[in-house]
Amino acid sequence: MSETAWTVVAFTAVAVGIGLYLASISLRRRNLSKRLAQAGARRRAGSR
Amino acid sequence: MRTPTDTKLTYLGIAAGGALAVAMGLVFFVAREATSAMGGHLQRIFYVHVPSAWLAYLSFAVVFVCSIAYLRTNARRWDLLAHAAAEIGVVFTSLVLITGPIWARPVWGTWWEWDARLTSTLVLWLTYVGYLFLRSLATDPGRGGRLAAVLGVVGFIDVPIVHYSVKWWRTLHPSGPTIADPTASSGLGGPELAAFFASLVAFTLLFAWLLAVRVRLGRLGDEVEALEIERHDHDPTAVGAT
Repeated sequence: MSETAWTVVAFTAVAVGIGLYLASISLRRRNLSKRLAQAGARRRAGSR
Repeated sequence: MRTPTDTKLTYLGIAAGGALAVAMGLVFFVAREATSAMGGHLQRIFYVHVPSAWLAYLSFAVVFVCSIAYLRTNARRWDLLAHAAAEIGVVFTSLVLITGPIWARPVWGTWWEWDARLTSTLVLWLTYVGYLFLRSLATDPGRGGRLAAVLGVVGFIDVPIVHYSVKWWRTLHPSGPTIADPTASSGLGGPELAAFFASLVAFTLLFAWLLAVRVRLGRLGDEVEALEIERHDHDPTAVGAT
């Protein structure tokens, strides 16, 4: 592989790594927001 | 509804993204190609490899300080910060361990050598992966947090070992430049130093943003857990109660 190709691979790996981490945070946040909404709804239903 | 914190976080994210764009522009369009001994075009990997290592050091320093604070005060905010920083540190140490061999393969002819710098960096990565496993597997979050804090304090010993390994032992790994002495053994001129410092600043801003985002996620997790525990206390038979 050429030097340029290796360089592209390295920079792509960094971008993908950071992107995957951000995606994992986003997924976890979505999951928690759903659970928060469900827990909140049950709490309101229970208090009636 | 957007809060002032959401707005600040957005601006910080935009600043980090902008700084990264400027840094990459300098790396690819301003910094000159290095000599063949330093890997020629491949040497540009240095502009993400060294800032990734800097972020790893910074992250684990935050874990160290916050772990001590948590052990002393038992205040949840320190535990949240330490956990967030450890996660980010593992991500960036992983990037160091990925970009390093990508550079090494064409330059050294091998992906890996068991020299002091590479081995101590691998130990660092394993230590903090262990930290994250400890937290995820602990059945008692308080106890898990305290055990992880101890590991966070002890594990930090490896950071100076990683940093000074190229001075203390004979290693294949290039010994310079470093953040403290960016011109050492490097042949870096003005444009290259500008690209290097721009990368460091950009990555530092990225760290600040990632830390804030991750801490916010941790607080959301605490809120959800508190609500679910409250619900379980009121109705242990309810479906979905933890």
